[in-house]
Amino acid sequence: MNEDIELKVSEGELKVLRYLKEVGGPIDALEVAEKLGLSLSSVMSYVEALSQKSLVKVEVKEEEYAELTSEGEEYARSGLPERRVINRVMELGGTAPLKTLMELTGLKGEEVSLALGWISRKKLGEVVLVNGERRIRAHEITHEDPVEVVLRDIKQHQRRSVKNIPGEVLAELKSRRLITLVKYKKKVVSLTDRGLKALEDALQVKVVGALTSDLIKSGDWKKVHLKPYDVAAKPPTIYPARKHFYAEFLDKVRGILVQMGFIEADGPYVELEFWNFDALFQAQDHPAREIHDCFILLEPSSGVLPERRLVERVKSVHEEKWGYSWSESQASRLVLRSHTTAVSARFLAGKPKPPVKMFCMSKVFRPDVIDATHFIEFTQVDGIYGGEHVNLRVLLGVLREFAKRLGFKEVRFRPSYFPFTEPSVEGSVYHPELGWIECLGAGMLRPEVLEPLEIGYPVAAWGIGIDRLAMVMLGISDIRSLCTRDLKYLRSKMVMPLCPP
Amino acid sequence: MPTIIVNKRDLMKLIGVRDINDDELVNALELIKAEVKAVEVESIVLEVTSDRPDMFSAEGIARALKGFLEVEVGLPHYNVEKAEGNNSVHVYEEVLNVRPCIACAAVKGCSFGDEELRQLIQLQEALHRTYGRNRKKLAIGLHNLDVVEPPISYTAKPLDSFFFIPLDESKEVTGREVLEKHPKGKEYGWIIRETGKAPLLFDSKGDILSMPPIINSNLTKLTSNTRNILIDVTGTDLNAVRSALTILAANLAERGGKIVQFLVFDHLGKRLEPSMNVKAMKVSYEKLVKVTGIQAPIEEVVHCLRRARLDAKAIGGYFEVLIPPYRVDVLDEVDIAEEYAIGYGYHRIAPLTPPADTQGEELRITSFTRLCRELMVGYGFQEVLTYMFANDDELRLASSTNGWVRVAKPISSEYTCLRTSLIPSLLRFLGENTHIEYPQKVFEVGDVITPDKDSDVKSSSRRMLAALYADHKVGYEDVQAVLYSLLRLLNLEFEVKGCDIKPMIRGRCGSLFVEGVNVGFLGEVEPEVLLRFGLQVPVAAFEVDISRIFTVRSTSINRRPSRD
Repeated sequence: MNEDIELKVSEGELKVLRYLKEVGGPIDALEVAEKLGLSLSSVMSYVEALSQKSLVKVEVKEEEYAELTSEGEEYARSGLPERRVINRVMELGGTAPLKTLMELTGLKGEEVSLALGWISRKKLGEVVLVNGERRIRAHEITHEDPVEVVLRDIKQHQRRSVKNIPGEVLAELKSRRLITLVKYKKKVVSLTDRGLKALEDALQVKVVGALTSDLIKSGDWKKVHLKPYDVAAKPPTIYPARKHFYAEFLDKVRGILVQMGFIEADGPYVELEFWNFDALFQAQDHPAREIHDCFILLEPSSGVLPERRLVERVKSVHEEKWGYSWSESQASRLVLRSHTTAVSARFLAGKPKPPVKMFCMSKVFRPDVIDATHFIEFTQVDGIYGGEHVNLRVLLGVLREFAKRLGFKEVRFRPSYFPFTEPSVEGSVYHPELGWIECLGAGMLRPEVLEPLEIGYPVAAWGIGIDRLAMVMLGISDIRSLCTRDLKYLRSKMVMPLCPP
Repeated sequence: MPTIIVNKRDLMKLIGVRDINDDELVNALELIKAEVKAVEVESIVLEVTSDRPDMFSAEGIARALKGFLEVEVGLPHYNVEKAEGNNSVHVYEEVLNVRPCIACAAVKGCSFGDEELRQLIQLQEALHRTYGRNRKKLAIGLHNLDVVEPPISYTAKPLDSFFFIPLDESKEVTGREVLEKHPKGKEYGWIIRETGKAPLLFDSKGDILSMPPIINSNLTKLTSNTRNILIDVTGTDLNAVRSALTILAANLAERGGKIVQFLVFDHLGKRLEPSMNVKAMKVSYEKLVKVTGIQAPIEEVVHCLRRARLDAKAIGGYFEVLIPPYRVDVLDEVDIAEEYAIGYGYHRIAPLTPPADTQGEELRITSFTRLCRELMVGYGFQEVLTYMFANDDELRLASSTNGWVRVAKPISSEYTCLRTSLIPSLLRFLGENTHIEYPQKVFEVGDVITPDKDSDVKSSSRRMLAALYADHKVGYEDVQAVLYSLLRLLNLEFEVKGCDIKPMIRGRCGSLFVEGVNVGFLGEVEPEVLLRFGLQVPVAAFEVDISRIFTVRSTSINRRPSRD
């Protein structure tokens, strides 16, 4: 199929093509308009368009046309005088006296004599003498007068091409001065081969954009042509509904820890200072417990301490080692937990059997100036590994393994300090662009933590600033983007890389 | 962790080593608990861990570095002159209710200059902030010993009953005027104001030396020409006071001075300050290995401890470990173990791959949460995470709970309490995305906290799933269809009953009951609430407690065959 032609033939143009094919030869545009019941101007615009596409040929021709004179008009309306005379006489029985003809037909004298002349010439009747009276005798008329037919035709169309008028009729019309001859230009339209082909194609095949169910069901899909697309054109932008990128990251971290043999645990967000600090051997006047370093609650403000025996043991270790008077009411105060190590402490209070690997991944809260790297709530992952064989080197092994599974090949360790661990360690992972990133705080839980909880085996504990790692791995520079309120950002955030660059 | 700035040249001089470059220095510092924040042309900015107050100045850092770099290992030795003659402090009863503890010492023959003075002041300030709990627990006074005539009296007097010229001032003022007008008085006056008295140090001439913990007298002001320094430490905790004095005296003496002890006479009796006693502790080889996992030969263990500026002697399976007086952090065998590891070098410790001795598992609610999240994404909802922090206004406006957890001192008015529902923060989310094309379908699965007087923490957390559907035309049925589909897939029996729950339109809100338990609601959000969140499109929403659904499901699901 010729795409160029096909796509450019309009409905109107198609009508003209179809009619031209029906006519089978050149035809006056005016005639096309008449036949199709369209205005000449619209037909001309279709013809013009088709001609530009070489589907039709247009020739301008000068031609002689016959138009009626006033006498011709009169005869076209009332008939030729000879016909009128004969018709009248036939009504009167086929014969009538000559002298009564003017009276009988309403014709004037010269018209009557003219009529009589044409009656004899056309052999419509004859003049006879009956009893000395000149009478006309009419012949029965069996056919129409071709002159009269032509007159009516011209009257109806205002003009007629001379070519279409038979020679003897034309001669009679001319001699009787019933017509005048006028020259006119006309546009003659004819179908080209190309036009014929285009018409055939158009009649056979419809071009469609959308393939519809109707087309498939009806079988019409076989007849139509599916419009080819610009396959490289840009589509509209769409977004999938997705899981949150940070939630996915946390899922991945959780998966790694589960694979490493850790079981997940959780604990309350609103926590007793007892679990958040005291059980972790943090002295009650430690700066981390002050209102600007920990969210103390307005309401509810205090809770219920655990079993007496444990409280007493914690109290005595504080009083013995730190040398101050331990306050139960401070330990009962409620805070928003400042680390998930509180969950580890609660977990150990359940006296799990070693070996034990447990982790908690959840939100913690700390007052801070809100900026690109600090927010007042963030996610922490805390874990413990307890067992007779657990020591600092094993702890480093856990941290190295975790870093490796996250995709960090290099990890290094430095001594550090946490009130509840000794020895303590800070681990950093190596990022090819950002260098060493400090993110793993860990250590062996102090005897002052384990003994009151009646844990008789060594326990390694670690905490990961997972927001920091997430930012590094997800390419985020503002910590607040992890809980973004920008829908577009959520929809269009690149998928997480499988490993660091 | 206090930030400590040291001068590189001064540090080198103290160490007595010249051929060490910045990288080696940084590396060594980080391996002895001093994290390097910046290396400048002349100085290094460090963060020293808060358990090592003896390293809050260049002298202490240099002392530790000397050990680590093996310039000088084992216990440092100090030149100590026993208290004699008038070198004493007498504590009067008046001060016992105000600020009972004091310790004093002098260091004579200090080689002093601007850098030395800067380090001394830095040490004083860092001790104030950390160990001193902002001067409440302890405060330090540094004096020119040459203008002081011991013995010294420590007493307390009513605020209006004395005059002195405070440090760097020229006019005599009363104690009350110090508290009311002097910047230090305004900053630290709260520590003593309640008593109506000021603790005071006098010398034998009757001159006021200091009004702790606020300010010294101008009389005893230090200059870079000062050679002999008197140190007083006062406070509320005798151990802390004494430790601080020992650290100050030892660090000053690192520059070659001689420590002159004072006798303190107080209600407890008579004692010598500063205590320069070496502590001894016994620890087994087995214990050190059990904690660290580092199995070095006996001699190497001894060497490691000496690098950490301790001393040790191996006797049988044990070590007799000697701890220098300024090491206030070494209390237990595990502290010795850490010294061993530091002396060994954290960079040399080979990690041990942990054995696969346990089976990992996530919480069942975590698995259930993920299941719900995946279904919600399947329904075309975008997952959103919002903060657990909320504010009272939003909760009042768009949640049906009455009470919630509120913090005593919020950081900003935007975050004053913990959320009790996910809907307010999700409405806020939509309110900030009105410029994005609709429909907008979002959901969150997260924990909310509600007061619960039966719990030990007076609150309980519930895991909620909330979904919001916003569009130019959206209604109840749009979210109802999602919720019903979800519940059917979870194989749950449920019904919905009409209810009136904030922030939903009355008559277009239903309560959801799963197996007869109320677990949430669904409906269309009140236009007034929408407008308050800046929304001009209707929003249909549901919020269900999936932790409760999970519990109900776990108990009921086994009783019934699956519908499939």
